[in-house]
Amino acid sequence: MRIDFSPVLARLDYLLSGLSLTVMVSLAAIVLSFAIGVLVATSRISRYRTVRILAAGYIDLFRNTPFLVQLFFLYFGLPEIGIPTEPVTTGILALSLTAAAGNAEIVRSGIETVPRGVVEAGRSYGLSALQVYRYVILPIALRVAWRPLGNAFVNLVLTTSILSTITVNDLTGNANNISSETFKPFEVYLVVLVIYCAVTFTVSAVVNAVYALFFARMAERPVIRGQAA
Amino acid sequence: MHFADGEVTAILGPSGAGKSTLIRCINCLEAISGGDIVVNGKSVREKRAMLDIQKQTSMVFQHFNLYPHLTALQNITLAPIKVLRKNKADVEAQARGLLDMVGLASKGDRHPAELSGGEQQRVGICRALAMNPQHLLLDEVTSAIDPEMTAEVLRVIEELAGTGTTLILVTHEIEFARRIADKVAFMEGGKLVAHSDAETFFNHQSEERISRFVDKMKH
Amino acid sequence: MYEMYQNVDFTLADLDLLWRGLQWTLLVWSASMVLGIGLGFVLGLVAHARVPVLSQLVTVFVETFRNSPLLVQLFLVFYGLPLVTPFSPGPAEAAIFTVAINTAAFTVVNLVAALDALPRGQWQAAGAFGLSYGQTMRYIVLPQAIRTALPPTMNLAVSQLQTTSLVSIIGVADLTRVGTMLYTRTLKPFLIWPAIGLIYFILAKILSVLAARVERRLQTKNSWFQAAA
Repeated sequence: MRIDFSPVLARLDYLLSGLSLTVMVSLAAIVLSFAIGVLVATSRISRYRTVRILAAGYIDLFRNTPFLVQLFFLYFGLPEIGIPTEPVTTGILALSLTAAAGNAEIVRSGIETVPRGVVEAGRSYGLSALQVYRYVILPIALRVAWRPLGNAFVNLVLTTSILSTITVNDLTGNANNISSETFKPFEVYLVVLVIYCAVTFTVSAVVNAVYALFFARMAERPVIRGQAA
Repeated sequence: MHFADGEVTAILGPSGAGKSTLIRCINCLEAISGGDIVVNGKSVREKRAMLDIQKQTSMVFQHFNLYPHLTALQNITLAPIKVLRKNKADVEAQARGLLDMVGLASKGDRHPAELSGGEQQRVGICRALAMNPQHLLLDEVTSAIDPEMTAEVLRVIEELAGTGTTLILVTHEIEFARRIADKVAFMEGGKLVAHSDAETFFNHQSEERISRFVDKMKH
Repeated sequence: MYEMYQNVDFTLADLDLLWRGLQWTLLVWSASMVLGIGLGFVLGLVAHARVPVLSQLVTVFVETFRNSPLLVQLFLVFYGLPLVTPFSPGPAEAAIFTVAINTAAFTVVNLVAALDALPRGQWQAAGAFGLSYGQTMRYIVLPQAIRTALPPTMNLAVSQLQTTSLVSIIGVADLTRVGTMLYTRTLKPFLIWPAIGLIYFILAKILSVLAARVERRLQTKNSWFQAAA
């Protein structure tokens, strides 16, 4: 059979409307998963043992089960306990919860790189534990975590495609519709593949720009002579 | 041992004598295991007094410990704004004044990584001074700096002596201590071995062991 | 008669179903890991050797498959290939092929990073002893690079286990597919999805333990290697 892109290109508008939903869902989930991730990372190093264990369990659970299973559980399971579900919001929720687990690990390893002395300096001038965390530890940790977080954001964008399985009309969902309408699956999915690449390259570019803007001036570690540790 | 207001006390002694631990206890950075330290009538053993004591005592660290994500100016203004709840514009004006005093007026917008060791430590001193502390604690502030840059840091400290701020400095710079200290405390093995006027300590030392140590440190 | 159609109870046959699902999951996973890591290894060498045109092609391949969703890749292979090529893979073949290609793309990145991390001096030293490119690669560079690339590649393999759940969407009767079958028959999402998730969780834990063991053996070997050198 001949390769023919024209039926796909004729429906480009429809495809791009799916893209706009993909972008919307991605942005929402990136923001939410970042917030939840920081929260879980903070809980992970809490002074309370129970909080630490709960956070560790959350991370372990979400990182070691398939996203598809998590999604089906939430989408089909929540109505069982009286919470009605709707594809887009459930999708954003599931994506945020799962990505937050990964983000939490990344942020936590960032926190571990914060030099003790800097934390001590904050405490020494009377900053409260919360203020030290908010103004000293987190900003330093986020610089270290930023690039890995960027990879996680790219991964999240790719994962949004799975929401099509619960009838979300995102880029992949609309591609499925076009595919069954035109019988041109190869052309449709090839175009979609390229669009996803464009989206993730954009995400990477934004991540790098943010890094250059906010974090670049902090060197890996201030150069200190004679520091043994 | 008593540290009088406005006095400069140098704490000397071999490594591991507990000098740094002592001033870290004064600053409530480390819990005290025995005995007591009273700052302006408040004991470091009392949890509630901690914030008050930390407001009155400011520490300058051996390894600077500047916040790497903030500019020199922001390093100085963070605690006054967040802890003393001062007006941001006022604190910034004060910080610029301090930077000017230590000869870094043009470098307020640099990050620590863009400054030399000596410059970083001078910012560290400004950061401590911006809290308007009654007591300034200096923990081996020149030992992590290249020798050619220690002079600029010592000059700043020398200017502070006699301004009414109590200085307590842990140091290995014997000559410097002799020049600016009013009192000298000598520590060894976690114990205070001698505490006297600087004049008596350096010129009329009765303990053979201490004068040997001082002689050795001179070279 | 009604019960025959509305069979909401679980039977022993369901356990058998789960067992077969588990086998499919493990088959797809192991086959695609072996093929994918093998292919990634070869392509990584090509990319590192900077062969004109070929290396650039590998880069394009790697970037495309890392930056697009596996689900779309699956659709492209399973629905698309039969219409434009003589190949019409069944669900399992398409699944193994696609997960393998996806894994290969990530493996290339790991290997190239490990190869690039080796000091230039090693090549120069080998050249000074008169070793050819192939000999240097075979006896000096690769043994070290593989040690570096293995831990991230094992992590990749462990996490790809979760990813294989997507093959259920093109009809492979893996664990997730069995979950869907049981769910549509019994309508007990609150029971079935956690159960399926638990099986994946246990599998992931077993694989992590195995990976950690391999890594530890590698490290002891490494220290022996360094002590001898």
